[in-house]
Amino acid sequence: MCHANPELGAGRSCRPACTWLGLATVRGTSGVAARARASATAGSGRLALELMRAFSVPIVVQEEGRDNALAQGVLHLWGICMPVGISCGPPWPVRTEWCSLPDASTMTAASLREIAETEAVVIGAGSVGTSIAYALANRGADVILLDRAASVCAETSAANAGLIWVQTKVPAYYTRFSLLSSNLYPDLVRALDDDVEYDRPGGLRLALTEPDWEEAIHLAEQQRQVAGLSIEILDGDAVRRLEPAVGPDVVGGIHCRQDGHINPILYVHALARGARRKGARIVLRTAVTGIVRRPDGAVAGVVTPEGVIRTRAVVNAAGVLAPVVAAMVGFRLPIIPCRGQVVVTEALPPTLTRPLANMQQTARSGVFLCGETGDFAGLDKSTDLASMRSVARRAIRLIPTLARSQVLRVFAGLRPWPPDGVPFLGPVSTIPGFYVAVGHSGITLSPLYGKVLSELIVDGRTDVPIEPYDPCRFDGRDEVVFIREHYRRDVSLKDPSWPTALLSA
Amino acid sequence: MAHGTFVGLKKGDSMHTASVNDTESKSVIMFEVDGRAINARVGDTVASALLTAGIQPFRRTRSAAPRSVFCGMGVCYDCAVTIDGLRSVRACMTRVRNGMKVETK
Amino acid sequence: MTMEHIQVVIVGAGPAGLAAAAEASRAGAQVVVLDEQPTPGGQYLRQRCPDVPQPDDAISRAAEEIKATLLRDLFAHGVEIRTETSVWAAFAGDVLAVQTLQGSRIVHYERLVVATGAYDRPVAFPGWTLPGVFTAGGAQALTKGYGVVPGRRVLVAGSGPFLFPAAVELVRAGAEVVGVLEATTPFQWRSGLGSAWRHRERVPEALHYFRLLRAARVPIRFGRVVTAAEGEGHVDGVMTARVDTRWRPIAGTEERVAVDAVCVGFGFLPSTELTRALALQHQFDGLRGGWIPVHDADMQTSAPQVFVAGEAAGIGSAQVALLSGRLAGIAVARSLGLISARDAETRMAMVRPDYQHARDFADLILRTFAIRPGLLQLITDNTLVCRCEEIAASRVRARAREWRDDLHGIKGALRIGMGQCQGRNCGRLMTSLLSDALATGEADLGMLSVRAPLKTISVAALAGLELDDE
Repeated sequence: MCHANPELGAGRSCRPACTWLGLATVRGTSGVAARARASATAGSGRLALELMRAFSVPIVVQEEGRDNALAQGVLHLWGICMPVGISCGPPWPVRTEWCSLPDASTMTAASLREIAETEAVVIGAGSVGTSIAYALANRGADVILLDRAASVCAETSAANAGLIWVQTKVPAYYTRFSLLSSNLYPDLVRALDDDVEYDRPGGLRLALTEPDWEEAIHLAEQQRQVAGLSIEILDGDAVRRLEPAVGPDVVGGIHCRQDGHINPILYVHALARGARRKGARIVLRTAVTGIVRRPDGAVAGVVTPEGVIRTRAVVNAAGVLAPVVAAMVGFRLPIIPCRGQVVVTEALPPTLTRPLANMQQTARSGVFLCGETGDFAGLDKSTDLASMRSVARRAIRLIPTLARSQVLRVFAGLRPWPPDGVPFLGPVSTIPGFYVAVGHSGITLSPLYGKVLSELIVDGRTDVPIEPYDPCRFDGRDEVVFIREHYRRDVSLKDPSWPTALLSA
Repeated sequence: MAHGTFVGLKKGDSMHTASVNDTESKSVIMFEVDGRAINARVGDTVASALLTAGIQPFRRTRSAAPRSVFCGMGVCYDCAVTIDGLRSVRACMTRVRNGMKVETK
Repeated sequence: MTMEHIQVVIVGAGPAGLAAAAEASRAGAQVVVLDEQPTPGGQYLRQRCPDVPQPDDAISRAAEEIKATLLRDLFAHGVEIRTETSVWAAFAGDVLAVQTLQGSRIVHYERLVVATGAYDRPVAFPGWTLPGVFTAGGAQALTKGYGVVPGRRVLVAGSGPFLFPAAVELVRAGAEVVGVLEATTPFQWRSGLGSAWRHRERVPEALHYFRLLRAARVPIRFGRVVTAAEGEGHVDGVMTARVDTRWRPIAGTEERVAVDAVCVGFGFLPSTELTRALALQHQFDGLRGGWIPVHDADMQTSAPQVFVAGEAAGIGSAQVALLSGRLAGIAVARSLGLISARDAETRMAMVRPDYQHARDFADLILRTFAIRPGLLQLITDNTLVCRCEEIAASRVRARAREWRDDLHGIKGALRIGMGQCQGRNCGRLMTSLLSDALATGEADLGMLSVRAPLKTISVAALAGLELDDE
């Protein structure tokens, strides 16, 4: 019976992904291997499944008649004999309430059924994943974008202040990187041809105290060295001439012409519509529960509750949950959720044209999005009064007229935070076909992620310098001290409860 | 008077609204709407006072469509006006006070 | 100013909240009732404007008597009622953020009773956003509470028994009510006649309003609805039409009526912002208003210290509200150990039969006058479905042709529900529209998420909030 999701095409013939289930090799924690033989007809690997459930370990699926004692075997996959191993979840306990990782009891012959085939699967339909899907479709590549939510832009991309921000990004290679992305926005927005409330009038970083001001000037002189970045140092009066709504407490500001703002939700939805128009398939309400690989480690497909999608490239754009997806291929990705709380005001007449470092007024709807808090609270997205109040206080000091306007809503978003503050972007050399695209500032970097990934997947290379963003840069290093500094807690990359330890408060 | 406690309703009192505020006259409240002086009765909300005075509409949307009271009980925000400089205050939920300045533009 | 600690906080000073306060305080609890309205009583027990002649009929006297008794009880037991006080957020640790005329503060409760009542279910039709279009509840608030008529020539339309008292109040306040349009026909009530016999004590009340309207020469027409409101800047007339049993307008039966106000009432929706903000479990009950908080027979929700009463627990009636409030109040007293379980059981046993009887009758009314899908046909492509953000039905229908959104998804895509009303106006309307367009069950579309502040507060009030550590 074919999968009913219309995105994947009705009437597509669904071949079983495997002839079930010749032999299951089960490894217990004591290291003693147990072997069970089950019947070869579809759906009757029940004994094997019981054993797997008991030990909750990687399973092996094999064709009947083949003798095998190792974790690799030959599988009648998609009508072609290919060597393959399927890992069904890490052998360590993982919290499952936010992602259904497969345990053996949910693996059946049906879930190994192929339901679609494509050139690239992008996991996560936020500002990063949707941009990548759009860029791939734009290059003519066949792409499927997956998200477990019922709509795109369901998580962090819907819970931020919508800033396209370059001027305070450090070090210099990251500044250039952010600048490159900001420069891609105008053409992208024109191509999307949708009202996403985009504008690039230049941004202002404002200082309320002398020490802040000195620090800002110091950074500004540094940033002036970056080619293509226009930086101006303005005293308080000059700032107020540019933006009359700015309050008297502001002692000065740094203006950067390449900073801008956008409505992030409208933007991601526009990307999704554009991607679809260009042939991308967007499959929602679908969690990824496993990743199929070949013995040489290359990706072969993605497992969902409805079946397997065959693909040669998988992009992990799952934001805060990227470590969970990475764990499916045994890859350790250090990303911690960093909660930011945003206060949204009612729609106001045009008051502030240029975005500030932590807030903006959207170009058409006229609401103010104010944020700037950051704390590590695991996956907790609740808001707290102290944070809301500090955002409100700062907002009023910067733009005094805001005091007399109403707060419409307050929400929190979780920034995917890497230990060194710069993204993970690029292929994983030990897992051919597996790419990572995760980090904070997913709005600023959205167009660049799309460009880089589409070039990597379609052309096999990119001109954009991405070495500093190597997803494997923490491999083999026990960065406990480094992580303690940046995350203010002790999380070892070697922690056996990874990624749970990462994602909890 | 603390917390906006419902003044005047204690055991043995009459059921009707007593004075809202010690400094108000017993029958008429004077307030301003878009610079015009308007009368209201004690107990009136800004909405009931504006409707009585025939002032329409209460506000205009972004596309300049006129709006006025719809739900009358604080749910719809269509009656929102600026009161004493504070924007988007629900007229139907706000009692008129002497000297209040209301703007519908 | 530090955080205030209150033993029992009751949100809502309508019949349910007051009844809960009476029972809890009787048992010795320290109770504070909060209400954002300027006077207590909610809608049903709304304080009458003193400038308007007070009605002298049995029903009005009975309501006044109930209110007087309740308030007497409350004050005898030291209950404090704080009006013009709105709850705008709920936080972990049993804390509420509360806004008064003096500013915002935080309150800690040991037990909470949510009795936030209901509001008129918004029904969309062309011109429904024009000044001069009111909900039936809004009309009643204006006339009964403030002696103000929404217009000089008024039409009342919709479905359900509430239309009659609303029309009567309009007459009392001096409006010319040109008619009451009830969408159902008496013939359609026949399936309820059997059960109606058990509730025959309600007949005098129904006849009472009917007689008053007859005496005022107000025509009552069955099987008709308003299909559009017309006018430049303000209503100057409405179109009406006959409808079939599914409430689909019948072509050729349109008439124009010149009016300067139309009051529309198609039932109520529970105010569940606070229960959703508290992250309580909810279930979808299409008959009783949609998503309502899950609660047991003692009105306790999925959080043991939170109780719910009245319309917020599911649409019923004023009688159901009063009785469920009493149950909640007794349950709160028991859960605080102020009365024994046996005492509580005895007291509840005196309430339950009446509660069940009132609940049965309310359900009968809800079923008889339930909204029917033909009304969706009134919504043209240009009709606004999101009043705050001015989003027309055409955009929703176009989107539904290409995407299988749930409520949350369409909110992100089109900004529906992102305006000041936080989805109160458009939420259920969107659910009906989408479930029709996508041929999917209403419950499957999910709930709109609720974010603080539940009622808008100024940035200054948020900045000026005094917290515990100061």
